[in-house]
This record gives sequence, C-alpha cells and structure tokens, in this order.
Amino acid sequence: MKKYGKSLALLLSVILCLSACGGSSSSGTPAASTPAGSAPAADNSGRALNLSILAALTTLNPLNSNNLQDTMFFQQMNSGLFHVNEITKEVEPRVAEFWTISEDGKTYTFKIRSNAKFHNGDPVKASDCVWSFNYAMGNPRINTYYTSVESVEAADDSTFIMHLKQPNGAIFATLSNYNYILSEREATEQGDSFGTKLHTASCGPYKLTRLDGLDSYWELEAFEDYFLGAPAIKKLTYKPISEASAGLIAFESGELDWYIAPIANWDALSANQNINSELVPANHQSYFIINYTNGELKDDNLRKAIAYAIDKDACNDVCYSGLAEIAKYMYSPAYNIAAPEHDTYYEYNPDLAKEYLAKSSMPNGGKMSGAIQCSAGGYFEKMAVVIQQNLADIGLEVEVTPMQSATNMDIMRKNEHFMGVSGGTPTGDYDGIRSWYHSESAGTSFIKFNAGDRFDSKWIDEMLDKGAALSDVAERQKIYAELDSYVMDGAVYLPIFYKVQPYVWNKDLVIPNNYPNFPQVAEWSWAA
Amino acid sequence: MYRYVIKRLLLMIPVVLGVSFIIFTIMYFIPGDPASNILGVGASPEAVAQLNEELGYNDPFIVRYVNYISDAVLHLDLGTSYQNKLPVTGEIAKRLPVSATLAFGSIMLSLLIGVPIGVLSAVKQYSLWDKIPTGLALLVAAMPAFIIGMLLMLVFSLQLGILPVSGVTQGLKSYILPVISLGLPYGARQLRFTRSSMLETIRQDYVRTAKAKGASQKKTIWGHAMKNALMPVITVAGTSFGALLGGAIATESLFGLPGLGTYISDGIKLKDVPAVLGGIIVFALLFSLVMLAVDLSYAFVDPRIKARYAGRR
Repeated sequence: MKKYGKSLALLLSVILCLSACGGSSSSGTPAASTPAGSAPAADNSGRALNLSILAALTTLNPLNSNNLQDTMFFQQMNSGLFHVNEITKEVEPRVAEFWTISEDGKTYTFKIRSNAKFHNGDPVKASDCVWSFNYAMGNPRINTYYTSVESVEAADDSTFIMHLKQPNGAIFATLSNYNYILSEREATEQGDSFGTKLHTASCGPYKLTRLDGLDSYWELEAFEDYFLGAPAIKKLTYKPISEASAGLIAFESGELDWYIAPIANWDALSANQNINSELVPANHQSYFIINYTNGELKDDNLRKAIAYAIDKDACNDVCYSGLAEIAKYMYSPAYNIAAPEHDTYYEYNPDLAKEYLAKSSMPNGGKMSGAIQCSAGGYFEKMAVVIQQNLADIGLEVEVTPMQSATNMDIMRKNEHFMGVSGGTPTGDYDGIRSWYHSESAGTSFIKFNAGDRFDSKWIDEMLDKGAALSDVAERQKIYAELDSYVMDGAVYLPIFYKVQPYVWNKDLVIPNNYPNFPQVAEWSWAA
Repeated sequence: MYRYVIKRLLLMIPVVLGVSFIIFTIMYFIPGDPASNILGVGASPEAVAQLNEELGYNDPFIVRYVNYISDAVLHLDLGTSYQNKLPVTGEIAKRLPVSATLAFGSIMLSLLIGVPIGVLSAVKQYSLWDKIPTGLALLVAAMPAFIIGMLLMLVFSLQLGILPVSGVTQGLKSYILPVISLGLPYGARQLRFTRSSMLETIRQDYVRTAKAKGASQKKTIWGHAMKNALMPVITVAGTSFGALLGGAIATESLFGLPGLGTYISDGIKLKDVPAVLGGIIVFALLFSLVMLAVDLSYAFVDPRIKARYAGRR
C-alpha cells in the first residue's frame, strides 16, 4: 500500500505543480483566484475586461454574418455610419456626423466625420463607404437588409450618398447592425482571407490585437483615435463558452467580468450582493407556428382552438422560470419602432378553445395528422412539450419531433411542416416583419401567405410597403395595426413570450445602460 | 512484420474511402441546405440560392464526392468550411493537438489509476483493498465525464480558484480539469478490466508453478502474471485513445476546448459538409493508425505473437 500511496502522492504533486506553473497568463485573463465581488484593485486603469460569447465567431468580417453572437462582438470593434439606440430607438450618428434626406425620401446624404479613422490609421473616406455598402449589397449573407437600397455613390471624400428604390421609414433600424464601414484598401488587400485572420480594417471603439483562432480567444485594445473618444476600459478579452453552467462558474470565479447568466440561476444571482445584476427584456420573440395549408389545420376553428389552448404562462414557467414577458404581438412594441398594439391576440382560455374545437373539423379531438417540430435542445423543445400537453388537455393528441436546426428549417421552408416552435430577433422596426409576412419571403418564411386562399397576400404586401414608405411613426403604427390584426386573426403565428437577458457583472464594473441585445462596451468603465 | 505493417497501412485506403463515402451520402440525404442555415430566417430565397451556388452545394452528388476525394488525395485539401470559409485542413491541424493532448492525458491518467489499483484489487480479492476501489470505480464509471467536470470546476475553479474554467490560454494548466474529468471514468473502467484480467491470469498453472518454486509475490505478479494480464488492458487503452482522438465532444464543449470533437459536432449541426467530412476522415485515419500501433504492441508484450509475426516473414 505504501507504494500505491507514493504513486498517488506523485500524481497529486504533478497536478499541483502544473497548476502552480501555469499561473501567469499572457492572455490577460484576471487571476482566477480573485473571486467575484472582491475589493477592487487600487488602480483599474490597465485592467482587462474579460467577456465571453456563446459560440465561436464565424468570421471577423462584419459584413459577412448576421449571426447574433458575431454581432455582439462586432459592435465593439466596428462602427457604421449610424446606429439605432436599442433603448431610446433614436438614430445616433457614428461615422456620419450628420445627414440629410431628400424631399422625396429616396436620397440620403451623409457627411463623414473628418476625424474618423480606421484601426490601420487610414482616414475613413466616402469611397470606403461605397465599397462597404456595395460589398454588403452583393453578399447573400446580409443583403436581405439592403433590399431597399438602389445604389450608393461618393460625391467627394467626405460625402456619401445612398439612393433608395422607394422611401423607407425603417431604413435606419433595418441597417443599424449591418452598415459597418470597412477600409477598402485593407479588405481588398487581404482578399478572400479577409475575415479569417486579424485585421485593422474596422473603425470602431476597439481594435483587435490578438486572435488565437475564431473559436478560441481574442484580445482587443481601446482605439485611441476613435472618433467619439477612446473607450474608458483599455483592454478586452473574449472567449467562446457554449455551456451556460461553465460560463456561470467562470463568472463566479472571476474568470469573466460580465455574463448573460442561465435563467434558472436568476433568483440566486439577483440576491447575491457581491455582484451586479439586471433582468433586461430582450428584443427576441418566441412563437408557435401553425401551417394553415397542411391537413386539418386548414380549418380556422381548429387553429383558433389551438391558439386559445396554449398556456403562455406555463411555457414561460418551464422555459424561462416565469421571468420572460408574455407576448401579445409578434414584435414587442417596447423595442421595435412602429410596432403596433391592437386587440387581436390570444390568451389562454381552455373553455373557449373547446368551443372552437367543437365547431372544427375535429369536434371530438383525437390524434392529429402531423407533429410539432422544433430544433433539438434548448428551450424550443421544452415549449413544444408544454404545448403538446396544452393540446392534450382539450383532447388533441400530437407528437413532438425535435430535430437538427438545418433539417427543421428545411422542412419549414418547403412548407411541409404541420406545427412548430421557433424564435427570432427583430431588426428594431416593425418593417422587419416583412421577412415573415411578405410574399417575397415566401421561400424562406415559415408561413406562406400566398400559398392558399385564406390570406390576401397581395394586400399584406401592399400594407407592408405602405407602412415602410411613411416616415411618421404614428401613421405607420395605424397601418401595421390593421395588418397585424389581420394576420393574427388567422391564428398562424402565435407569439408566446419575449425573452429576457439575465445580465450579471462584476461589482467593479460600471455599466450605464444594459441594452436588450447588443452590449456597448465602449460606454462601460471600471469603478474609480 | 514489415509486410504486415504495409498490408495494414494499405487496408486503411478502402477504410477511409468507405467512411468518407458513407458520411458524404448521409450528409447529402439529410434535409436542409447550408445557406438557409447560415443566413437564418429572414433571408430571401434568392440569397439562399446564391449562397448555395457559391458554396458549390448545387453540384450533383457524384461530382461533389469525386471532386472532394481528388482534392483530398492529390492536394491534401479537405475543402473550405461553409460556415467560416477557413480551410478545413488548417482548422483540423490546429485542433488536433488540443484533442491529442486531452486524449493522451486522459489515457495516461486512466492507466496510472486503473492499472496499479486493478492489480491490487485482484491480488487482494474480497478484501477492503478490493471492495473499496471496485465500489468507487463503479460509482465513477457510472458518472458522465460532464458531471465530473462540473464538480471539478466547482471545487478547483470556484472554491479554490486555482484552475481555469474554460479555454486553452493558460497552457497545460487549462488541460488539468478536462483530463481529470475524462481520465477518471476511463481509469475506473481500466481498473475493472485490469482486475478481471489479472484475476484470470493469477489462476493460471504457470503462476501457481512460479509460486510453488518459491518466487516472491512481487516477482510472481509483476514478473510473470502482469505481461499476460496486460493484453486486454492495452486493447482497452488503445481503443479508448483512438476514440478520444476524434474528440470528447461533451468535455471539449464544457471546458471550451477547441478540439476536433466540437468541430465535427458543430459541423453536423450546421450541415457544414466539408468540416464534418474532413474531421471524420482524419479521425478514421488516426483511429486506424492507433489500432495498428495497438496490434503491434502486442508483439512486445507477448513473445508468442512476435514469433508469429516473424514466422509470416
């Protein structure tokens, strides 16, 4: 036994030695031994802010991705001509100092700031804006946001002109996260490899200084020549952490300074006096889809029976610990410009559900011919199971079929689905709903309004175009209220809840505003 | 021996071709296209079609497969990831050391734990030296590495604050918790294999003879029984090592290790055919090589096998 004892002791020694020798990190990660909530260091000026996102970056080219996690990162490194504040909904100037809009609403003239520079030191010119817009308009990954833009041109080095096909009151919100300006010189020099390696072609508040692979670790430094002034926090580190529990432990052990915590831990985290926390309603809606072109779902009464049978509170309890906000409408009026409020929505009412069922093609309930499909894992699957139970309560039997997201999306886009659960992040303006409602989106949206006689898809298109063409928000809301009521009455998209962001952060960190989706780290600072 | 090795190496060609064809076919028939997945809900049908065309996704099945294999064989080019446009060969080369470190560390730890304790258990059968380790081994083997990893994180990262939770930025230190969380269950399995193998061996006539001739317990166990008992242990360790090279997906994901396992699993989710195919081809090659090494190692442990190889020459 003595011998085995020695072996064990040797093994432990090796482990302890390794832990001791790895102490200094070139990464700048805070010492893991500094627990969250400990007393702030005397001087925080050079302290790195350690952050994470939920997945590996897909690219470093901000005009080549519409991925939510990528965008959370891009916001720190890149800047566009303008930015729509997620809370105030105001359009804030960025690279453009100001702009004018022609009387017909089709020509936007942007004046470029004289002090705007790229991280490589080159001044930002209108020709860079032209290149960036043309690149985005030709890139299928994001050109869906640019469908209103007809052409762009540079009048001179500091004047950029954007021509629209028709007036569009939603253009700022639509392009807010996709109008980044890149250095034409550097992006073209890097050619096809642009976005896959370190670059200095951006002009945002932070400059990328280290990249250990898109899936591993990145460092950024404050860009001292940033046109709105250098950020207060001088260094950022990022790494992807896909497991929520691991991320939370990383936060609690001091390895991260800020985190979007798992909702299940919210009660304990919000009660913890050693950290800061805020539950922020996110601009992200979760919804149930009923394909009105498939089987017995062609029956309006059956769809309404299903709509009234869904207990949104139960979905919220199971999926979001009851902390999400129950949704009446597809787009939250709180975070989307011109998003309307109206009286056509469905609240849990099993008695009414049974009444509609009695009038439907399945008056006695029974087994439905299709299933509720959803992407496997995550809360979609849980929501599908709750709804399955809700339907069972009124006598409708239906299967739940979780599947890989690519497969799920493919079936839905081919219009072969029966019912399903999904979610999405709106653009910040109700016009973004055209990707759900407009006939141009019929190839990709989950409900094809032009696939049968139930909906007047031409009228839907006209209403969307009419709303987008106006600049008066109240006028737009009126049009959209009529449109949204019409669609909701068909009981095909059933909003369930708007997600919340459970933000937690280090006590030493000062965050003036927690935005619903995209944190603006340039506004943050260390406590004095 | 050399002929045997060459024959085995040549056999790897149909194995890799077969694996690549099967995976390619499966990926082809799974519904969904990469562009829809990359572009998300709001993308227009035109954008989806344009991106699929750019990705070469619209070519016929056989054209895509033949192009892929010829590029892989002639230029060692495993294609470009649909998702991030990075060359798959480079991505795998970057990730392989991560998976290899994790696999090697875990197997070494499992051997360090499993073999000596397994031998002790067998020699002291039915004593506390046997009952406690086998009981613990059962407990640990029944726990997924994921759960062990979480427990380790809670103790070493959250409570003691001495080891990082995630990433590989702190060198070898970053691998300690993943290696332990993966090595412990494998060690428990190794213990049980070693114990049963050793029990069978020490009941053999030649061991009894050695004892009767007055050989010490130490010499009987380590000098005579051990070599024969090692055969199944090597097989288990080799197979486990080969399998782990393909990535321990849950452990890599939990500890944020950018290894081959997460690369393949992310590729499957996103229908990133080049990434999945490249990852699995490399994994099949490595697994075949490890299995060859395992077979060859038998010769060093068992002289009868060495003699058989020699006879074939």
